[in-house]
Amino acid sequence: MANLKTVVKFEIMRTIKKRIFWITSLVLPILLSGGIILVSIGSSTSPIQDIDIEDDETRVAIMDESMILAIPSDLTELQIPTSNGQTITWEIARDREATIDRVRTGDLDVFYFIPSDLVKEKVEIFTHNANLMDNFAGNVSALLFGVVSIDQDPNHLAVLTNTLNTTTTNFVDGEEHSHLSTIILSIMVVAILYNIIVMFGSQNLNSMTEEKENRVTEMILTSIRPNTFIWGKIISLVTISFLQVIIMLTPVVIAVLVMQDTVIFGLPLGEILASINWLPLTIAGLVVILVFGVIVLIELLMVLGLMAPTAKAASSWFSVVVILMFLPFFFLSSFFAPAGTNWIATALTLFPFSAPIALPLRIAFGTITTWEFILSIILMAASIVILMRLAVLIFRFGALEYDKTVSLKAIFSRKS
Amino acid sequence: MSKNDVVISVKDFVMKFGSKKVVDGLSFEVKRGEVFGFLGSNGSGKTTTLRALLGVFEPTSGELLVNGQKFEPASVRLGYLPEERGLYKKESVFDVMKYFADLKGVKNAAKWINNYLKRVDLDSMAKSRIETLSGGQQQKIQLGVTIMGEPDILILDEPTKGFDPVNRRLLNDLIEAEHKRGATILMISHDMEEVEKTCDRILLLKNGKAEAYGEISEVKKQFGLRSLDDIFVKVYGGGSNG
Repeated sequence: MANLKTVVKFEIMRTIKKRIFWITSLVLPILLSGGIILVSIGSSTSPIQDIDIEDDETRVAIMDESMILAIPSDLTELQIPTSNGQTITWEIARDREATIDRVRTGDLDVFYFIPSDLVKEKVEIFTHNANLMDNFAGNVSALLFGVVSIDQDPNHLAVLTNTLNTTTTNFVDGEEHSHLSTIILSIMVVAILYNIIVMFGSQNLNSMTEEKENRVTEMILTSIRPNTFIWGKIISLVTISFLQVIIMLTPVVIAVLVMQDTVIFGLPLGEILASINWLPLTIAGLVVILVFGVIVLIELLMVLGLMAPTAKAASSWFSVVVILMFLPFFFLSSFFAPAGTNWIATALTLFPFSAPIALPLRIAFGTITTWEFILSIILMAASIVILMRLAVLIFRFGALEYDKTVSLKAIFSRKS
Repeated sequence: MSKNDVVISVKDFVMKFGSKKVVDGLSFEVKRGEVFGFLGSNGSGKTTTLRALLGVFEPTSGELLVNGQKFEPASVRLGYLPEERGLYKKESVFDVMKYFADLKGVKNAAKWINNYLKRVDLDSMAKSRIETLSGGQQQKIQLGVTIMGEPDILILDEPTKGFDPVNRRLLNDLIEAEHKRGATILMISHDMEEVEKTCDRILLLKNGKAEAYGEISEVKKQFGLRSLDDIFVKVYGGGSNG
């Protein structure tokens, strides 16, 4: 345990002491932060969008306990033809739970529930198969803003000062599915994985060829058990990778916090983020994918690095890992197929080296089955164990192959 | 010889790489506290034997034991100076030495390192990157890493290779000091004068087999020659495979 700590400390310290570590970690967030600022400047003057629901026949229900909307008591339904030939049917709901169930089953597209106390409670929006760009929170704000009386009523003030709290729940195939949060988080997982592997993967490869290139392997092998050393390498590489992610995200998070009032897509950024329904189960699932994905891909890089005689030779294999990561994008259309109906999507989800990208994409599209998710995680976990053992074997028996690529056949024959 | 007196034991060791037999049924023992010279021409199987002894290579057959058991890094205080010299070139002298000191569990590592660097006249280079040091200076650092933590056993593969006479003397003094402290030393060397001066017993390896094995005086008597140099030339001079 003490030796494991020593290896981890040594590897982390010597990496973060390098200037290149900070340059590669900070270039992207600086560009990202700059991008966010430019986008926010460009969109800050955009007007609040009108209600814009594009389906041919859209059914919307509303239930107003705040009494801001002057709805005639005998009105149950109102059909509004739009200029582009579509029809929006507005229903006046009387039973909240029953109306939510109708959205869940797809009988209704949207249900706005406006509570009696707009200061303490949230306006609830329930949608069926909503798109990322549908701005329901903006729609309901605009609707209330257009009819509210200007007086000292706390509810009216909440509307007038644009301090409404909203929450959106989206249903896909009858299940609660926060499309926006899922897509945001899935894209984040994919982006983080790409950053870790594409930007820092060569560092990981070099880290594994270093002992061989510096001829330190024998000194290491007689000072520490090979599996302790390899574990130390894995832990330090994964830690450094996540450290880089934290460094990269920090300026972005600061930029988002500073620009809470900046209008994006017609609403303040803070309001958009507050209205997103962050589903704990989805977040947990994506965190598992991220952690397992990072480990499995770093281990793959380690194995390739250990097999290569030099850092230069290892770098040519780096493209193999990148291609594996890009595979899901080559077959992106297969991910739109309903869950369990496309064998390519299933294969890419189960193959441990494409799974870290395929899984979040399919979660974002809402086309993954529970069994595919569980089986994919199990296969990634199994790959982590197998790659770890393989890395130890290659380090133990192949690390003295200074001039040629390690042959796995030779390693296994030597072992037996 | 009691079992406790044997620190290193190699019995019927065979090592094959593919169809090529590099070591063929080698057996020898190294006793506690002695300096043992492991000699042979290039390619005779010396380094392979050491690597197999230390678990770097898996032997084809035979038994190689350190303190009565298969070598495990944590189970014995052992310092090894390999034939392939190398250190983390981009790191500082102190950081590299501290890393290995921590791996070996050396107490008061910083103090030991500073004392050693002073002793080998490299104290001013403590913060320098390894790659900025000369080959000889790097060797001194590597020897320091080998002897740190007062190891019970020292295995040195050509320790003075590439040294000038001044540094060779310094290194021999360091090795002598380790021997006086009680360390058992197994040493590969091509410098027969050095071997005669420092070793108690020797083994001459040729084509993976022991050509001679015992105290230096016994080996000399066996060959009827007065110096190890002459014995070496006699054994390997006539068509050694190098």
